[in-house]
Amino acid sequence: MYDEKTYNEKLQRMETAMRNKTPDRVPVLCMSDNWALSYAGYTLEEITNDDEKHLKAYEKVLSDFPWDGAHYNVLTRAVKYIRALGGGTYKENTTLQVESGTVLCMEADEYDKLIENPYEFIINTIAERKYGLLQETDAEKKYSGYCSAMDEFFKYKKLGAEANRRAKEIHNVPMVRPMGFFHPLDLILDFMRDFSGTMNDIKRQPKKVAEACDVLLEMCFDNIVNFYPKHQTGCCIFNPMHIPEFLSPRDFGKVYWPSYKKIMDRLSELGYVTLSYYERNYEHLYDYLKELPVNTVGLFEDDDLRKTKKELSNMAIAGGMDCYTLYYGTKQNCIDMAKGLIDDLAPGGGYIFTTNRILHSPNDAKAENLLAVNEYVMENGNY
Amino acid sequence: MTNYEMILRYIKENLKAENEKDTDKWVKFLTYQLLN
Repeated sequence: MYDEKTYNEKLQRMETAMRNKTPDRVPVLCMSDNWALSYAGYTLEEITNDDEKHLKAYEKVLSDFPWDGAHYNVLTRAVKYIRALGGGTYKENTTLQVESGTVLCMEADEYDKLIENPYEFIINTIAERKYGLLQETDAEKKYSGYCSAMDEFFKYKKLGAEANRRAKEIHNVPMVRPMGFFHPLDLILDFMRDFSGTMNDIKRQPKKVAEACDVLLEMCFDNIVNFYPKHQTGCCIFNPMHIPEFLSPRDFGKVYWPSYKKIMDRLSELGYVTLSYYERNYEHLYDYLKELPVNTVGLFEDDDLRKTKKELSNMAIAGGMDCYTLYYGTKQNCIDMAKGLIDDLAPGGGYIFTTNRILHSPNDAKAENLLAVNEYVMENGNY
Repeated sequence: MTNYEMILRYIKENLKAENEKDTDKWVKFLTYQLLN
């Protein structure tokens, strides 16, 4: 049940740690997404067709474990909207994921069109290739279909608002991810050129790729400031990063870093906190990441966080609780790992305890182990 | 009617954009929402 004092303490704890300072205790952040479904005993199909089950699945995670903040309380994509458009890259298996091999809908020689007018090109060309509805030749039928799809989109937004209300009023857990964005090159990778196309473009036409990133960056930045105009205490803009793990430092410096640095600087100057999710390993890019501004939080999957904390003192660090151990380890293994993280990463502040990956699959964590480590940090993570 | 023109129509009729700035805001938002 909502309690103003403890709720605000949670927000302040998150805020202080994310600003790379020392809070009263190491905050415990929930990064459980599709894992909520299996934990609650529902399938993806069931929750997409039943809003109450959808809400209950995510609520169960918020109510059964202690948290200072959470990122997910509904699916991250408006599934019925995408279905109504008739296509898309997200595949509905047991979890909702981008599936490579279904993405390619832009040719290598179309960068000039993307750069010249990204909105018209994405809407008229990319989206038309992607969605059956937009290939409809009867204009009124297509418009009516698009209106229906948007109805589904706004129902999804309404569901999210209800989930936020319940998280606060029933579970006393702040939802701390009010906004997110993908870096332009990750948009190109995930939704336009697919993996092999994007990697070839980076080698063969890096200047065009970097130019396209600069242009698309304005769309990403404007969407943030238009719909999340001011930083809210304890909250962050979520930025999952996909392609850099595959790039050499040289290629990263050419095609990804200039626009990444630009948006991170602009957001930081406006007082926003951005949490970049560095999927897999980023050690080869630390010389760049050292230049990121204050107000950056790094959630690292496979990096050695003890080394990360030493080398990247410019940012707050999140993560460390290994999912493999959470599933296959004993309760004592997990508590030992949590203790080690607190001992080594908490001193000096700027550390947020959470899993090293977003929890999706059932075998990303055992519930009893997750409960044990969260309780351990809540009891032993005081400064 | 191109898809872009259809979206401009949707913005005008359903999102009640009153000026160029509003329209621009929604074009960017709806474009991003087509990247799925």
